[in-house]
Amino acid sequence: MLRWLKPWGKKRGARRSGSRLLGSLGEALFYAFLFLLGSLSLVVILTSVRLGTWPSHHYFPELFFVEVTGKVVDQRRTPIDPPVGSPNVQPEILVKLKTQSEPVWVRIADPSVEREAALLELGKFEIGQDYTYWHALGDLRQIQTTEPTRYRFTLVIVTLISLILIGASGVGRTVVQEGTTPERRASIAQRAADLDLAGGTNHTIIDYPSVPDDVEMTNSPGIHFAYRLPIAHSPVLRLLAAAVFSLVWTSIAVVFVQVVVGGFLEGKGEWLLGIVTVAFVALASWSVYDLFQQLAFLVGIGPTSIEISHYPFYPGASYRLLLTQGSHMDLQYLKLMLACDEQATYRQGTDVRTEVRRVREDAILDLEQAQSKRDSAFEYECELRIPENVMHSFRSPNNSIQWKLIVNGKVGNWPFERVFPIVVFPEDSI
Amino acid sequence: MDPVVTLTIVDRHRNYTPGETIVFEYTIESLQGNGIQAVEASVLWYTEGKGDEDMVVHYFERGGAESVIGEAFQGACRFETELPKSPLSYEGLIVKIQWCARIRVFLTSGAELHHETPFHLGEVPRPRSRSK
Repeated sequence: MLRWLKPWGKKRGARRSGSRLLGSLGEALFYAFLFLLGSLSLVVILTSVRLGTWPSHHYFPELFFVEVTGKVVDQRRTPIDPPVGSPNVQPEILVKLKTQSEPVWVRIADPSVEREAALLELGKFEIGQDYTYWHALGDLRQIQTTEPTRYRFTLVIVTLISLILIGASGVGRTVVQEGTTPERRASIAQRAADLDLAGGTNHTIIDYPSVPDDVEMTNSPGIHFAYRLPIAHSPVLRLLAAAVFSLVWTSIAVVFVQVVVGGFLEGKGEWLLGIVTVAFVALASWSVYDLFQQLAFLVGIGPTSIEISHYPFYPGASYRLLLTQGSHMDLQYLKLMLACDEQATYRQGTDVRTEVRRVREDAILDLEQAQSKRDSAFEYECELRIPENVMHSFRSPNNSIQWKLIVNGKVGNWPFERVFPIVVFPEDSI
Repeated sequence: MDPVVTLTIVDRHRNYTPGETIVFEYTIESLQGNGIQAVEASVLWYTEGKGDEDMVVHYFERGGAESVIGEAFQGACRFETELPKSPLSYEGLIVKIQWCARIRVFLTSGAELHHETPFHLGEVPRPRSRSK
């Protein structure tokens, strides 16, 4: 069979193609390098901070700033020659520090500012008053009127500590993985999981390992029967998501329109921004249309609910079931089926793919041209029989077996499908 | 002849029911001067098929040389466990669940011997093929 030529391919699964030992060794060396890099850098930096030498003195001069007080004895606005369009005044104050005999000029705005701003800045320093200043140790050229921040140094220290932690945990994990068997690791993980579960109240997971949690199955009482089954993807949530998306996107589009229209009215219209705005408005219009479609869909079709007489489900057992379909329009057809799907998730390179295969599908109700009255709920009571000798519900991190009741129908011109997941227990649990 | 470990099920039958106690027996032969450092016995299930493998260990025991010396050389060592209620063995279209017991023997020379014995928990028939 002719296949399309792929420009690139991805390795399937988590298999290693080379030597496992060499792979682990390389991994351990990589993490050890991170650990050593972080540790050595941290030691060098902290030592240099203590001794006041390179590299801290060079890269983090703010650590060595000294706090002094001094009196303002004069002010000036130095005109400078900046690039075209930039501010052209540098405000400075002449300060007589208590530790120095000669006064020094201190810049109080960096870079230069406009004339009015310079006056404002100079007004903060009255002549004859004492203020606090900071300067580099032994270097009065680096004197400033604000306290130096040390966030750069903190950021570097946090980064180095992160390197140390990542390196140490990576080496530890690699050593543990290489030194223990998969069964031993799984056993340790299982014991930890069991400790977590010991505090829980749901006995399903403890009594039936790998059977999905069934709390949702019984926490909603029905009107006619004991339980109302939960729906998989609530249409209300979809409507809410569409509403939020539409609101956000329309708001962005309105801002764009305001900016573009304002620009054109002032004669400074930007055509490129205008084209982008048209695209934003188009998407906003689509989102509003989709929102109203979903709203009409939800209101027109109405809620679907399934109630069951008792629980839990197990192979070979029978239950009473009530299907209720609300509708504000004519119901064209309605189907109810019991289905079982296998679902497998696998990695292909950096992609995660999921494949679903239906292994069983039993029709419970198949009403062509269901005659329901407008604005009245359609109700259908029947027997639900779980087939004998079938696999129970199962869930593990990458594989699952899912039983579900599926309602298919058509209201007006809108076909719809609603899914109610159920949990089927092993036959031996009867 | 290289050292060999074998693992068998005592009173083996086709399918095991949940809650049933299953007994395994292992023997180590032809050690020829090799010492035993440790022995790991486990009962577990793992998945096969399209998805990435999942594995859960139901029973695990690791013992040092003292746990087998004196028994293994004379005959066979045994371990047993009560099987859980789920998951049952299953051979689906893209998801398969396989139960097995594994024994790993670590020799003082650094070599590792292992043996695996599969078994069926429950009696779930294969599903018929149908595509979605």
